[in-house]
Amino acid sequence: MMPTVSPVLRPSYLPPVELHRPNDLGELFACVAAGACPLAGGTDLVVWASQRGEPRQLAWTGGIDEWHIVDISGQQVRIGAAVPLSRIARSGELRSLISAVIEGASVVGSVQLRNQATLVGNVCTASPGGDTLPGLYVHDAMVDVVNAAGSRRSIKISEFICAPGKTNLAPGELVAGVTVRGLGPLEGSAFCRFTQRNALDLALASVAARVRFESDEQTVAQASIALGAVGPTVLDAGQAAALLVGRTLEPTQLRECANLAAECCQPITDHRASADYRRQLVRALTEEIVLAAAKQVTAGCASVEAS
Amino acid sequence: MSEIQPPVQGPVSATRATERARGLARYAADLILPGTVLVGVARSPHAHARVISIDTKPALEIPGVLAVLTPADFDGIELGHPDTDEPVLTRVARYVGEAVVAVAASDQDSLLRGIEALHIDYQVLPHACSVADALTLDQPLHAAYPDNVVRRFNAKRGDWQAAEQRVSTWVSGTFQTQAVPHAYLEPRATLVRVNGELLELVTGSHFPSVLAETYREIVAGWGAQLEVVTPDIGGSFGAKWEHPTHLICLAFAHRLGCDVAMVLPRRDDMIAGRTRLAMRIQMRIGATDDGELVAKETVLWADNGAYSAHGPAVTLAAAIRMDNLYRFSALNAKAQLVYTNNIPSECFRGFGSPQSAFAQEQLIDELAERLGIDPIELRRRNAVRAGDTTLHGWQVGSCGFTECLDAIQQRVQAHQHENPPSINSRYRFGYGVAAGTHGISNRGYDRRFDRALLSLVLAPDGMLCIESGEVEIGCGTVDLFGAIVAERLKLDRERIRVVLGDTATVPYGLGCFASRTAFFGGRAALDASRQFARACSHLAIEIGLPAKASIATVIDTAVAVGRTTELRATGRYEPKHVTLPDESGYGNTSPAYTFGAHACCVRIDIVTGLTNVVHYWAAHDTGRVLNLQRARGQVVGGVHQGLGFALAETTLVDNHGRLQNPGYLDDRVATFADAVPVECIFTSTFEQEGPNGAKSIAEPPIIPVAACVANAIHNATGTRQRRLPMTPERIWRSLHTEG
Repeated sequence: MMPTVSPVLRPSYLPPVELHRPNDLGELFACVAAGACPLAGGTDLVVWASQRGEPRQLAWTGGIDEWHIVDISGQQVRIGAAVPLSRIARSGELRSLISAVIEGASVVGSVQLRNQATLVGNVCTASPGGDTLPGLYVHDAMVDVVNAAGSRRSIKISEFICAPGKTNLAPGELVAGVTVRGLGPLEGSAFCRFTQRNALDLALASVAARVRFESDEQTVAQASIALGAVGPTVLDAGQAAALLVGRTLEPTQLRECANLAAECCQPITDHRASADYRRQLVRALTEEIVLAAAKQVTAGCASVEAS
Repeated sequence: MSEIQPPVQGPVSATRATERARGLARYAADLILPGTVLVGVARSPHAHARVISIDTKPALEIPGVLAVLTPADFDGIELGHPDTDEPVLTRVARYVGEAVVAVAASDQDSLLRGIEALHIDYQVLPHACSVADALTLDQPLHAAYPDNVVRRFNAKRGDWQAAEQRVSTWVSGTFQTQAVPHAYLEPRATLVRVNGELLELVTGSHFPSVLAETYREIVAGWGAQLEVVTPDIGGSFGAKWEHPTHLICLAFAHRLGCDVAMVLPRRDDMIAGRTRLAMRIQMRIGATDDGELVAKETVLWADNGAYSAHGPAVTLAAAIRMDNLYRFSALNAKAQLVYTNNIPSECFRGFGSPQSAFAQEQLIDELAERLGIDPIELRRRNAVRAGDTTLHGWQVGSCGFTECLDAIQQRVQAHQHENPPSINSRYRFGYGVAAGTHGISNRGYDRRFDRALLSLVLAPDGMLCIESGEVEIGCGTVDLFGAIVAERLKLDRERIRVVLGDTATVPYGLGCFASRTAFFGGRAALDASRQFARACSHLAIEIGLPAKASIATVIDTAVAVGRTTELRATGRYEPKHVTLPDESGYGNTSPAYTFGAHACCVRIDIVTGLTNVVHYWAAHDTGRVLNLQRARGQVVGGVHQGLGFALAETTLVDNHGRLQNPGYLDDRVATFADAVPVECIFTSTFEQEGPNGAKSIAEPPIIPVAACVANAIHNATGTRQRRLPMTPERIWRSLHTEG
């Protein structure tokens, strides 16, 4: 017997919601312990609440002062859980330090969404198509987790996100921020996605790449590639990236790398695109984005020479 | 060429548009007062199922739930235009999302709990979510139509055999267009206010007078009276006519004796809304060697969805209207409208012509290529001209079609000159053209008559009120009527108040559809102004003013001496030479016809199949332009709506008939970030029959767009697109199978 009212046909109204505004971590954990769901930007959460009729208790994280901090120390960047995407997207310093992350942060949803949505929210939503995630993977992001007792642990992003919409966050834990390893000398990174619309769309496929050159600025010393929207989580295309190491970025090398990336991804066929087409997009984007990452190094040097 | 005649008041600033942009407009949902009873419905999860039993008791036990309505409360009431086939609440669900039981509650939480508490048992029936499946389904969706064919049309004109013999080259193809939702900004919102036995229905509508007429008959059976008020409307594009939600709200308001409201969430509005008719079109066109278009044959199947709405009229229009663009010798069109278990279809800007243009204008292009004639030149040689009577009986008055073709040819050539083709391994550039035509109103729409009435009434405070049942649906009607009357009577626009669509006040109007309002209402406004001026000169003499005193002076004096009630006039327009079309659509259905030709330049990424529209030119014969800003707005908007139809928008239905993309994330309506540069060109045509020489511009801009882009894609890549929407993946696939 089919259910009388199928869940998909539940009218999508936002239920009455009680909003708590804790001012420090202690209050926030108390709210969460009492059953409230933490609310950062709310750009996903409010949609879910409308569709599912819950949660009805929310605790806003924007009142936690230390979660608004963006801290840059040397090559390390730490971004607090309450920092909206638009704030990091307009920082020139971050753009040159963690390019692939910022390029992803700059295309999420729309202007209004980016003013509201947070980087940590994008991480916790754990969508395989999350626009900031491939960049965070190639920038070796560590997710900083705290619990009510005040103890902290740091988890590699690829271990933190374990399945579509699923993370390894334990009950009673919250994500306080994300720490990423910025670009060093002779290093560049870039992100690109394919969408059918220029705003308010989800990637059919996305790719981030990070490349470090030897001092000759031609031979690749180290490379990493992460693929979005073509697997249950963002995928580390380590094998494809390894093909570039010790070589120069000739078209044949790039094509080989892109083909391997397309082979090693695990796309699905759904109403948005077929698996075949997503592989094709990975192929096209990988070539493009490895070059873009490399260009950041060469262009950067050019400007140094010019000055 | 294409000099723009001065608009009525210079470049009229769109006062209504400014109000909207400033957030001052009040839509139906803004008028709901706190404490209003809220209404919701339980929807069928099945595409086709008989309702076996309904248990409303658990819902009624929930505190806050005030009343429940079931199909039995609406026995004998069916909606539709002209076929009445849609129940208010259904005993047989014919699409996923159809309303079965309605609940009224004091607050949203109780309402949701009430809906979830209902027990509805279904007997699932076989369903068909495509025309092909419906034609072979051993199960009629409506008992009166055993083969699921709602209507068959046949239109044969000219001497087919003689024409066929003259044809040296045939081109043919089968084209598939998709259903798309209307994607208006304001979801369906209904408020019913109760005032004793009077029910006041507040909702955005194309035709408040007709809506009131239809519903009055029904509520009279309950002993109630009814008026319709249309507040500001956040778009419709052909969607907002009769709807079950209206009657559900009216019934609750009457039963409970208090105000009730229902605002559909976006997803509900899409799963239980309306869509453009999806069509499969087989077409062939034959020409002589020297490029004379001789014969055209069309075989068309249209997906009606679960209920008819305007499906029959749209299907007939799709089968024949576009034929009128060219001087064919013989035509043969057959069309079938078929019931399916999809969302009910509805008319949508263009009324079937965007679908048939997608087929016809691609075939014209193919012919041009085969015959070695420039595609614009081939169209020009065969273009319909002023004074023609077409094979379908259109008597063409003014016609700026060739002027439109000249204009786009000049623009395209200049663009090609400035942008020489670049050799690029990844991106291919191409140009495309396509044309379209449209009527102004449709004599066949309401068999009784086609006319407009507009009253000018002087209020005691000296404000001149324009009152009409011809409504503002977002096209600028309020501004236009105000401007026409202000100009004629030489009055400040600030002295004029416009009241449209409040059925307690205004004279009867057929409403806003078929690009008719500016033309019909505009003519009625001119007639009313003439009569009002006459009334003013009579009164002037009586109260001792010079006979030639200005209208403003007469009005001021009338206010001062308390004789304002004598200054009123009702203007009217009813075209003389239109004819009621026969069953095959033959007739001079409109007092005038509009024409247009579009061109675009596209860039195709052959690696991903992504189409980028680099530039778009839209030339329209809309008669004299009355409001340049609004006319451009219509063209730019129509082109973008057309680009969505061409490249992105669709309804995706799974095997069970469930809509997979009930939201704008996956129904990819263009955003501002997707806007393309559109150059608008208006011809110098002056239409004698029109108000101040004008014709209309509401629907024409969407008609040629999909065909225009498809022709450009072919020009760029050599592949023919027969199926909409032309998504990147489809284009990528066609490049890798054909090439």
